[in-house]
Amino acid sequence: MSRTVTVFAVIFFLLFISSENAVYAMHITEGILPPKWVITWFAVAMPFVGIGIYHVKRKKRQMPLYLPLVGTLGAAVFVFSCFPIPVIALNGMATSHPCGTGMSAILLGPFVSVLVAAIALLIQALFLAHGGLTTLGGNIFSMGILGSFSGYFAFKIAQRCRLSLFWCGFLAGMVSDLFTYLGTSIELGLLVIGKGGSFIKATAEIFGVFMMTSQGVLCLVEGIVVGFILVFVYKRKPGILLHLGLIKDDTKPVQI
Amino acid sequence: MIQNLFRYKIFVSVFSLSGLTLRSLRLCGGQSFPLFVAFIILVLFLPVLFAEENTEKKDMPVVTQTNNEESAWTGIDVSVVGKYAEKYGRPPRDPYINTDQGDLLLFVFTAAGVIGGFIIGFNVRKIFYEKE
Repeated sequence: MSRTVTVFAVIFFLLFISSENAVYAMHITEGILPPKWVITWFAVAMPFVGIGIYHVKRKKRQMPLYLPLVGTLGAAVFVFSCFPIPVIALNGMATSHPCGTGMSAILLGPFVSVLVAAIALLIQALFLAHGGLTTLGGNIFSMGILGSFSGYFAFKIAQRCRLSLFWCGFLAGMVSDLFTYLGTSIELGLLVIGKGGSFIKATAEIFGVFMMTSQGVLCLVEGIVVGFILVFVYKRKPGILLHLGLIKDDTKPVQI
Repeated sequence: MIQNLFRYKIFVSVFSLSGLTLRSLRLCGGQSFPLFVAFIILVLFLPVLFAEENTEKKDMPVVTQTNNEESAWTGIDVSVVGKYAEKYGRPPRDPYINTDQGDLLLFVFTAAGVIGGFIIGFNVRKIFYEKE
Protein backbone atom coordinates (compact mmCIF):
# COMPACT_ATOMS: atom_id res chain seq x y z
CA MET A 1 0.00 0.00 0.00
CA SER A 2 2.74 2.44 1.05
CA ARG A 3 4.70 1.49 -2.09
CA THR A 4 1.75 2.40 -4.30
CA VAL A 5 1.40 5.70 -2.48
CA THR A 6 5.11 6.41 -3.02
CA VAL A 7 4.84 5.64 -6.75
CA PHE A 8 1.84 7.96 -7.05
CA ALA A 9 3.64 10.65 -5.06
CA VAL A 10 6.62 10.46 -7.43
CA ILE A 11 4.33 10.70 -10.49
CA PHE A 12 2.50 13.69 -9.03
CA PHE A 13 5.80 15.36 -8.20
CA LEU A 14 6.92 14.92 -11.80
CA LEU A 15 3.70 16.59 -12.92
CA PHE A 16 4.76 19.72 -11.04
CA ILE A 17 6.20 21.25 -14.17
CA SER A 18 5.17 24.55 -15.64
CA SER A 19 5.18 25.66 -19.27
CA GLU A 20 5.46 29.07 -20.82
CA ASN A 21 2.01 29.03 -22.35
CA ALA A 22 -0.93 30.15 -20.31
CA VAL A 23 -3.55 27.47 -20.15
CA TYR A 24 -7.11 28.48 -20.77
CA ALA A 25 -9.34 25.69 -19.69
CA MET A 26 -12.78 24.99 -18.49
CA HIS A 27 -14.36 26.55 -15.41
CA ILE A 28 -12.54 29.48 -13.88
CA THR A 29 -8.85 29.03 -14.43
CA GLU A 30 -5.95 29.69 -12.10
CA GLY A 31 -5.13 33.35 -11.64
CA ILE A 32 -8.47 34.84 -12.68
CA LEU A 33 -9.85 35.45 -9.19
CA PRO A 34 -8.11 37.99 -6.92
CA PRO A 35 -7.13 36.81 -3.39
CA LYS A 36 -10.13 38.40 -1.64
CA TRP A 37 -12.56 36.50 -3.86
CA VAL A 38 -10.53 33.30 -3.55
CA ILE A 39 -10.95 33.45 0.24
CA THR A 40 -14.61 34.47 -0.01
CA TRP A 41 -15.58 31.61 -2.33
CA PHE A 42 -13.69 29.08 -0.22
CA ALA A 43 -15.48 30.37 2.88
CA VAL A 44 -18.83 30.05 1.10
CA ALA A 45 -18.14 26.57 -0.28
CA MET A 46 -16.56 24.79 2.70
CA PRO A 47 -19.67 24.61 4.98
CA PHE A 48 -21.62 22.98 2.13
CA VAL A 49 -18.85 20.41 1.64
CA GLY A 50 -18.79 19.71 5.39
CA ILE A 51 -22.56 19.19 5.50
CA GLY A 52 -22.21 16.94 2.43
CA ILE A 53 -19.73 14.69 4.31
CA TYR A 54 -22.15 14.51 7.26
CA HIS A 55 -25.04 13.57 4.93
CA VAL A 56 -23.01 10.77 3.30
CA LYS A 57 -22.17 9.32 6.73
CA ARG A 58 -25.81 9.45 7.79
CA LYS A 59 -27.38 8.15 4.58
CA LYS A 60 -25.01 5.22 4.08
CA ARG A 61 -26.40 3.71 7.30
CA GLN A 62 -29.98 4.16 6.10
CA MET A 63 -29.55 2.86 2.56
CA PRO A 64 -27.10 0.05 1.68
CA LEU A 65 -26.83 1.04 -2.00
CA TYR A 66 -26.11 4.67 -1.20
CA LEU A 67 -22.29 4.46 -1.33
CA PRO A 68 -22.19 2.69 -4.75
CA LEU A 69 -24.63 5.37 -5.93
CA VAL A 70 -22.30 8.11 -4.66
CA GLY A 71 -19.40 6.39 -6.46
CA THR A 72 -21.32 6.11 -9.72
CA LEU A 73 -22.60 9.65 -9.69
CA GLY A 74 -19.25 11.02 -8.52
CA ALA A 75 -17.54 9.41 -11.49
CA ALA A 76 -20.38 10.58 -13.75
CA VAL A 77 -20.07 14.21 -12.56
CA PHE A 78 -16.30 14.03 -13.04
CA VAL A 79 -16.63 12.65 -16.59
CA PHE A 80 -19.54 15.00 -17.50
CA SER A 81 -17.72 18.12 -16.35
CA CYS A 82 -14.57 17.43 -18.36
CA PHE A 83 -16.27 16.09 -21.44
CA PRO A 84 -16.14 18.66 -24.27
CA ILE A 85 -19.15 18.08 -26.49
CA PRO A 86 -19.01 19.59 -29.99
CA VAL A 87 -21.94 21.93 -30.59
CA ILE A 88 -22.66 24.12 -33.59
CA ALA A 89 -24.25 27.34 -32.36
CA LEU A 90 -24.09 31.08 -32.98
CA ASN A 91 -20.33 31.11 -32.38
CA GLY A 92 -19.83 28.46 -35.03
CA MET A 93 -18.14 25.19 -34.21
CA ALA A 94 -17.28 25.08 -30.54
CA THR A 95 -17.20 22.67 -27.65
CA SER A 96 -18.82 22.91 -24.30
CA HIS A 97 -19.24 20.64 -21.33
CA PRO A 98 -22.26 19.68 -19.25
CA CYS A 99 -22.11 19.75 -15.45
CA GLY A 100 -23.95 16.67 -14.18
CA THR A 101 -24.74 18.27 -10.83
CA GLY A 102 -28.47 18.41 -11.58
CA MET A 103 -28.53 14.63 -11.89
CA SER A 104 -26.42 14.08 -8.76
CA ALA A 105 -28.52 16.57 -6.77
CA ILE A 106 -31.71 14.63 -7.54
CA LEU A 107 -30.27 11.20 -6.75
CA LEU A 108 -27.92 12.06 -3.88
CA GLY A 109 -29.37 15.23 -2.41
CA PRO A 110 -28.00 18.74 -2.95
CA PHE A 111 -25.41 18.73 -0.14
CA VAL A 112 -23.85 15.42 -1.19
CA SER A 113 -23.91 16.68 -4.76
CA VAL A 114 -21.81 19.67 -3.65
CA LEU A 115 -19.32 17.26 -2.07
CA VAL A 116 -19.19 15.13 -5.22
CA ALA A 117 -18.68 18.22 -7.39
CA ALA A 118 -15.92 19.46 -5.07
CA ILE A 119 -14.04 16.16 -5.36
CA ALA A 120 -14.46 16.11 -9.15
CA LEU A 121 -13.23 19.71 -9.44
CA LEU A 122 -10.27 19.02 -7.14
CA ILE A 123 -9.16 16.05 -9.26
CA GLN A 124 -9.55 18.11 -12.44
CA ALA A 125 -7.52 20.97 -10.97
CA LEU A 126 -4.80 18.61 -9.78
CA PHE A 127 -4.35 16.37 -12.79
CA LEU A 128 -6.22 17.64 -15.83
CA ALA A 129 -5.04 21.28 -15.86
CA HIS A 130 -8.72 22.26 -15.77
CA GLY A 131 -10.03 24.79 -13.32
CA GLY A 132 -7.53 25.70 -10.64
CA LEU A 133 -6.59 25.21 -7.02
CA THR A 134 -7.01 28.87 -6.06
CA THR A 135 -10.29 29.06 -7.99
CA LEU A 136 -11.60 25.79 -6.54
CA GLY A 137 -13.90 27.60 -4.11
CA GLY A 138 -15.38 29.69 -6.92
CA ASN A 139 -15.89 26.65 -9.11
CA ILE A 140 -17.51 24.74 -6.22
CA PHE A 141 -19.85 27.70 -5.73
CA SER A 142 -20.95 27.81 -9.37
CA MET A 143 -21.00 24.14 -10.34
CA GLY A 144 -21.49 22.56 -6.94
CA ILE A 145 -23.70 24.85 -4.90
CA LEU A 146 -25.67 26.76 -7.53
CA GLY A 147 -25.84 23.81 -9.94
CA SER A 148 -26.95 21.29 -7.32
CA PHE A 149 -29.46 23.41 -5.41
CA SER A 150 -31.05 24.92 -8.53
CA GLY A 151 -31.38 21.46 -10.11
CA TYR A 152 -32.84 19.99 -6.93
CA PHE A 153 -35.41 22.75 -6.49
CA ALA A 154 -36.30 22.68 -10.19
CA PHE A 155 -37.00 18.95 -9.82
CA LYS A 156 -39.16 19.50 -6.74
CA ILE A 157 -41.10 22.34 -8.39
CA ALA A 158 -41.64 20.22 -11.51
CA GLN A 159 -42.93 17.39 -9.30
CA ARG A 160 -45.33 19.80 -7.60
CA CYS A 161 -46.57 20.78 -11.05
CA ARG A 162 -47.19 17.05 -11.64
CA LEU A 163 -44.95 16.80 -14.66
CA SER A 164 -43.83 13.35 -15.77
CA LEU A 165 -40.56 11.92 -14.43
CA PHE A 166 -38.72 12.60 -17.68
CA TRP A 167 -39.73 16.27 -17.74
CA CYS A 168 -38.87 16.69 -14.05
CA GLY A 169 -35.37 15.38 -14.83
CA PHE A 170 -35.17 17.48 -17.97
CA LEU A 171 -35.95 20.68 -16.08
CA ALA A 172 -33.51 19.80 -13.29
CA GLY A 173 -30.68 19.15 -15.74
CA MET A 174 -31.37 22.24 -17.78
CA VAL A 175 -31.81 24.61 -14.83
CA SER A 176 -28.69 23.31 -13.06
CA ASP A 177 -26.65 23.92 -16.20
CA LEU A 178 -28.05 27.44 -16.57
CA PHE A 179 -27.39 28.30 -12.93
CA THR A 180 -23.85 26.91 -13.08
CA TYR A 181 -23.03 29.34 -15.86
CA LEU A 182 -24.92 32.10 -14.08
CA GLY A 183 -22.59 31.47 -11.12
CA THR A 184 -19.54 31.67 -13.36
CA SER A 185 -20.90 34.91 -14.85
CA ILE A 186 -21.44 36.37 -11.36
CA GLU A 187 -17.89 35.47 -10.32
CA LEU A 188 -16.47 37.09 -13.45
CA GLY A 189 -18.85 40.05 -13.15
CA LEU A 190 -17.59 40.73 -9.62
CA LEU A 191 -14.16 41.45 -11.08
CA VAL A 192 -15.38 44.81 -12.40
CA ILE A 193 -16.23 46.10 -8.92
CA GLY A 194 -13.79 48.83 -8.02
CA LYS A 195 -12.80 49.31 -11.64
CA GLY A 196 -15.66 51.60 -12.55
CA GLY A 197 -17.78 48.96 -14.25
CA SER A 198 -21.30 47.81 -13.53
CA PHE A 199 -21.54 44.39 -11.91
CA ILE A 200 -25.05 43.67 -13.19
CA LYS A 201 -24.23 44.76 -16.71
CA ALA A 202 -21.04 42.67 -16.80
CA THR A 203 -22.79 39.60 -15.38
CA ALA A 204 -25.68 39.92 -17.81
CA GLU A 205 -23.30 40.37 -20.72
CA ILE A 206 -21.22 37.28 -19.86
CA PHE A 207 -24.29 35.15 -19.15
CA GLY A 208 -25.84 36.31 -22.43
CA VAL A 209 -22.71 35.33 -24.34
CA PHE A 210 -22.70 31.91 -22.64
CA MET A 211 -26.31 31.27 -23.57
CA MET A 212 -26.13 32.56 -27.12
CA THR A 213 -23.15 30.36 -27.80
CA SER A 214 -22.92 26.60 -27.35
CA GLN A 215 -24.03 26.46 -23.71
CA GLY A 216 -27.59 27.45 -24.64
CA VAL A 217 -27.87 24.32 -26.78
CA LEU A 218 -25.99 22.12 -24.39
CA CYS A 219 -28.25 22.83 -21.41
CA LEU A 220 -31.10 21.26 -23.43
CA VAL A 221 -28.91 18.22 -24.13
CA GLU A 222 -28.08 17.90 -20.44
CA GLY A 223 -31.78 18.11 -19.58
CA ILE A 224 -32.59 15.27 -21.99
CA VAL A 225 -29.77 13.11 -20.62
CA VAL A 226 -30.88 13.62 -17.00
CA GLY A 227 -34.49 12.86 -17.98
CA PHE A 228 -33.51 9.59 -19.63
CA ILE A 229 -31.30 8.57 -16.68
CA LEU A 230 -34.19 9.07 -14.25
CA VAL A 231 -36.52 7.04 -16.47
CA PHE A 232 -33.85 4.30 -16.65
CA VAL A 233 -33.47 4.22 -12.85
CA TYR A 234 -37.25 4.10 -12.42
CA LYS A 235 -37.69 1.27 -14.91
CA ARG A 236 -34.72 -0.74 -13.66
CA LYS A 237 -34.91 -0.21 -9.91
CA PRO A 238 -37.76 2.00 -8.69
CA GLY A 239 -36.87 1.11 -5.11
CA ILE A 240 -33.91 3.50 -5.29
CA LEU A 241 -36.16 6.43 -6.10
CA LEU A 242 -38.52 5.35 -3.33
CA HIS A 243 -35.69 5.16 -0.80
CA LEU A 244 -34.48 8.58 -1.85
CA GLY A 245 -37.98 10.01 -1.47
CA LEU A 246 -38.24 10.98 -5.11
CA ILE A 247 -41.41 8.94 -5.63
CA LYS A 248 -44.06 8.26 -3.04
CA ASP A 249 -45.04 4.64 -3.61
CA ASP A 250 -43.37 2.21 -6.03
CA THR A 251 -46.53 0.12 -6.36
CA LYS A 252 -48.30 3.09 -7.92
CA PRO A 253 -47.12 3.66 -11.51
CA VAL A 254 -45.35 6.96 -12.04
CA GLN A 255 -46.00 8.92 -15.19
CA ILE A 256 -42.81 8.80 -17.27
CA MET B 1 8.07 14.85 -35.43
CA ILE B 2 4.47 15.82 -36.14
CA GLN B 3 4.42 13.40 -39.04
CA ASN B 4 5.79 10.64 -36.85
CA LEU B 5 3.13 11.40 -34.30
CA PHE B 6 0.51 11.39 -37.05
CA ARG B 7 1.73 8.02 -38.28
CA TYR B 8 1.82 6.67 -34.77
CA LYS B 9 -1.75 7.83 -34.11
CA ILE B 10 -2.95 6.32 -37.37
CA PHE B 11 -1.21 3.09 -36.48
CA VAL B 12 -2.83 2.99 -33.05
CA SER B 13 -6.29 3.77 -34.43
CA VAL B 14 -6.00 1.19 -37.21
CA PHE B 15 -4.63 -1.35 -34.75
CA SER B 16 -7.50 -0.87 -32.32
CA LEU B 17 -10.03 -0.81 -35.17
CA SER B 18 -8.62 -4.03 -36.54
CA GLY B 19 -8.96 -5.62 -33.13
CA LEU B 20 -12.61 -4.63 -33.08
CA THR B 21 -13.44 -5.70 -36.62
CA LEU B 22 -11.29 -8.80 -37.00
CA ARG B 23 -13.69 -11.21 -35.39
CA SER B 24 -16.74 -10.02 -37.29
CA LEU B 25 -14.84 -10.16 -40.60
CA ARG B 26 -13.62 -13.66 -39.95
CA LEU B 27 -17.15 -14.67 -39.20
CA CYS B 28 -18.24 -13.25 -42.58
CA GLY B 29 -16.19 -15.76 -44.54
CA GLY B 30 -12.72 -16.87 -45.62
CA GLN B 31 -12.36 -14.35 -48.49
CA SER B 32 -12.88 -11.26 -46.40
CA PHE B 33 -9.91 -11.89 -44.10
CA PRO B 34 -7.13 -11.62 -46.77
CA LEU B 35 -8.89 -8.56 -48.18
CA PHE B 36 -8.94 -7.01 -44.75
CA VAL B 37 -5.19 -7.67 -44.28
CA ALA B 38 -4.49 -6.05 -47.67
CA PHE B 39 -6.60 -3.08 -46.65
CA ILE B 40 -4.67 -2.69 -43.39
CA ILE B 41 -1.32 -2.78 -45.22
CA LEU B 42 -2.56 -0.18 -47.69
CA VAL B 43 -3.78 2.09 -44.92
CA LEU B 44 -0.47 1.82 -43.09
CA PHE B 45 1.44 2.81 -46.24
CA LEU B 46 -0.76 5.79 -47.06
CA PRO B 47 0.68 8.09 -44.36
CA VAL B 48 4.18 7.31 -45.64
CA LEU B 49 3.19 8.43 -49.14
CA PHE B 50 1.65 11.61 -47.78
CA ALA B 51 4.73 12.27 -45.65
CA GLU B 52 6.95 12.18 -48.75
CA GLU B 53 4.62 14.56 -50.50
CA ASN B 54 4.78 17.00 -47.62
CA THR B 55 8.57 17.07 -47.46
CA GLU B 56 8.66 18.45 -51.03
CA LYS B 57 6.60 21.50 -50.07
CA LYS B 58 9.34 23.26 -48.14
CA ASP B 59 8.18 26.80 -48.89
CA MET B 60 4.81 26.27 -47.22
CA PRO B 61 4.49 28.04 -43.86
CA VAL B 62 4.30 25.77 -40.85
CA VAL B 63 1.06 26.40 -39.00
CA THR B 64 1.05 25.46 -35.37
CA GLN B 65 -1.86 25.79 -33.06
CA THR B 66 -1.42 26.87 -29.46
CA ASN B 67 -3.85 26.87 -26.62
CA ASN B 68 -4.29 30.62 -26.86
CA GLU B 69 -5.60 30.65 -30.38
CA GLU B 70 -9.29 30.53 -31.07
CA SER B 71 -10.11 28.03 -33.75
CA ALA B 72 -12.88 25.64 -34.66
CA TRP B 73 -14.08 23.54 -31.72
CA THR B 74 -12.58 25.90 -29.16
CA GLY B 75 -14.03 25.33 -25.71
CA ILE B 76 -16.62 27.85 -24.60
CA ASP B 77 -14.72 28.37 -21.34
CA VAL B 78 -11.67 29.28 -23.34
CA SER B 79 -13.42 31.71 -25.63
CA VAL B 80 -15.73 33.28 -23.04
CA VAL B 81 -14.14 32.93 -19.57
CA GLY B 82 -10.60 33.62 -20.80
CA LYS B 83 -11.72 36.55 -22.94
CA TYR B 84 -13.66 38.32 -20.17
CA ALA B 85 -11.01 37.60 -17.54
CA GLU B 86 -8.45 39.33 -19.73
CA LYS B 87 -10.86 42.19 -20.39
CA TYR B 88 -11.28 42.75 -16.63
CA GLY B 89 -7.53 42.69 -16.03
CA ARG B 90 -7.21 39.19 -14.52
CA PRO B 91 -5.73 37.01 -17.27
CA PRO B 92 -5.45 33.28 -16.56
CA ARG B 93 -2.06 31.90 -15.72
CA ASP B 94 -0.39 28.50 -15.63
CA PRO B 95 -1.90 25.92 -13.33
CA TYR B 96 0.29 24.79 -10.44
CA ILE B 97 0.32 21.29 -11.88
CA ASN B 98 0.46 21.72 -15.62
CA THR B 99 -0.34 18.53 -17.47
CA ASP B 100 -1.11 20.40 -20.70
CA GLN B 101 2.24 19.54 -22.25
CA GLY B 102 2.54 17.43 -25.35
CA ASP B 103 0.60 14.22 -25.12
CA LEU B 104 0.64 14.19 -21.32
CA LEU B 105 -2.85 15.70 -21.18
CA LEU B 106 -4.09 13.09 -23.63
CA PHE B 107 -2.67 10.41 -21.38
CA VAL B 108 -4.24 11.90 -18.25
CA PHE B 109 -7.61 12.31 -19.98
CA THR B 110 -7.54 8.76 -21.29
CA ALA B 111 -6.56 7.41 -17.87
CA ALA B 112 -9.31 9.48 -16.24
CA GLY B 113 -11.84 8.21 -18.78
CA VAL B 114 -10.83 4.60 -18.23
CA ILE B 115 -10.91 4.88 -14.44
CA GLY B 116 -14.18 6.86 -14.47
CA GLY B 117 -15.74 4.38 -16.88
CA PHE B 118 -14.64 1.45 -14.73
CA ILE B 119 -16.08 2.99 -11.57
CA ILE B 120 -19.38 3.78 -13.30
CA GLY B 121 -19.62 0.32 -14.88
CA PHE B 122 -18.71 -1.52 -11.68
CA ASN B 123 -21.20 0.40 -9.54
CA VAL B 124 -24.00 0.37 -12.13
CA ARG B 125 -23.72 -3.42 -12.25
CA LYS B 126 -23.78 -3.57 -8.48
CA ILE B 127 -26.76 -1.25 -8.16
CA PHE B 128 -28.97 -2.21 -11.08
CA TYR B 129 -28.10 -5.74 -12.15
CA GLU B 130 -26.97 -7.73 -9.10
CA LYS B 131 -29.64 -9.29 -6.94
CA GLU B 132 -29.77 -8.01 -3.38
